[in-house]
Amino acid sequence: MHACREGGGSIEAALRELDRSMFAVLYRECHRAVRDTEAARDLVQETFIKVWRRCATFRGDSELLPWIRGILRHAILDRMKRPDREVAMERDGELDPEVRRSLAEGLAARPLAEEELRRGEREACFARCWRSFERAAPEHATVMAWIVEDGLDNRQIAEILGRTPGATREFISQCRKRARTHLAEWYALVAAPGNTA
Amino acid sequence: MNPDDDQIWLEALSGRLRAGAESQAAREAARLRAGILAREVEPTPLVPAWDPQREEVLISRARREGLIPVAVIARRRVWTGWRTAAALAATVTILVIGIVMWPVPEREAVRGLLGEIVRLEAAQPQVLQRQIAQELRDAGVQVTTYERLGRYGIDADLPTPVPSEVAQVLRRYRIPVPPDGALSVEIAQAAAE
Repeated sequence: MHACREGGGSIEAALRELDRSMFAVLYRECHRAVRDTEAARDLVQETFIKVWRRCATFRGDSELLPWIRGILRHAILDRMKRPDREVAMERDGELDPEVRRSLAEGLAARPLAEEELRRGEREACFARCWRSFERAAPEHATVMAWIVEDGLDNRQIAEILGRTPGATREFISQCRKRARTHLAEWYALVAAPGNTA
Repeated sequence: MNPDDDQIWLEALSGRLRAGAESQAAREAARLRAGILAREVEPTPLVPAWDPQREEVLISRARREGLIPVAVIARRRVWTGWRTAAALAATVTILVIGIVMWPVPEREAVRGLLGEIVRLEAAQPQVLQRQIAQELRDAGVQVTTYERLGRYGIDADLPTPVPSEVAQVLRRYRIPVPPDGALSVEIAQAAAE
């Protein structure tokens, strides 16, 4: 971070150091979210550039990696918010066709539920439902995974989203609603008597 | 779903549920949390911690976005240009002296000396050496690399006629195709900023 204020060749050397020390770990996280090699690489490098632009806002007493990870996650969500990835659940009060299809797939698969239950394949059901959730609402699914994996609280979620506390609460509520829709089949399966997730 | 309910759901989802908070929202989130933690995650392709090509892409991007001050680049370009001009002038002088001083058979030797080793300059000569050597190897060429007095060299006997993929690699680094197939390149440290 010292090089941040020095400029010139120091920036170049520091960027190289940043790439060597952190690219691999950030790339893993990014690839898990975007599942695209080129996009993940591009996002991590975009993050390094942003890190440099914002280095003046870095608090020396906090850890560098979590701070950079927060910037990366914000960039990932930004990418997911692009119109071509966004799938709204409802349009004019009607369920979006993508959501309707996913629900229909879930309902069609329901007769298999007993079979899955017997064979202990709840995970397969979850994987199917989660994929549908990720396709329809990638931003919400990704943030939920981060909440689970890193134990994020409201403030941390608001930072990643770049939203106010109120807007963050609304986003969390949306996460819950959307998860209920897309994971309905799995919820029904695990809520059946004698079953737990 | 009221805001308090959503807050309980969030706390249970994140694994920070307050003791004794037992509710429908907490149970729902706890199941979801277990499902998310148990899900199979697609393996990530391995990337090397150090990748010179990746680094160059990052540095180019930083320059494009104005992160590395333009003045620094401009100064380096001027300096590099000046050095190139000086090297060219020295080369021409040697060539002229060679042509004038030496008899015809030696003129060949002088030309050979000039054409024998292609000299390049780079901010990170070792990185460039590895890059060129790797690309030549990928194109099927057997390459020897060495380091001598701070210069990083590449020697290779190219097949003749030189295959197009090998010629492409050479073109990319502005290395002339050696007519006899004997490639010799030396890379020196570019002048400091």
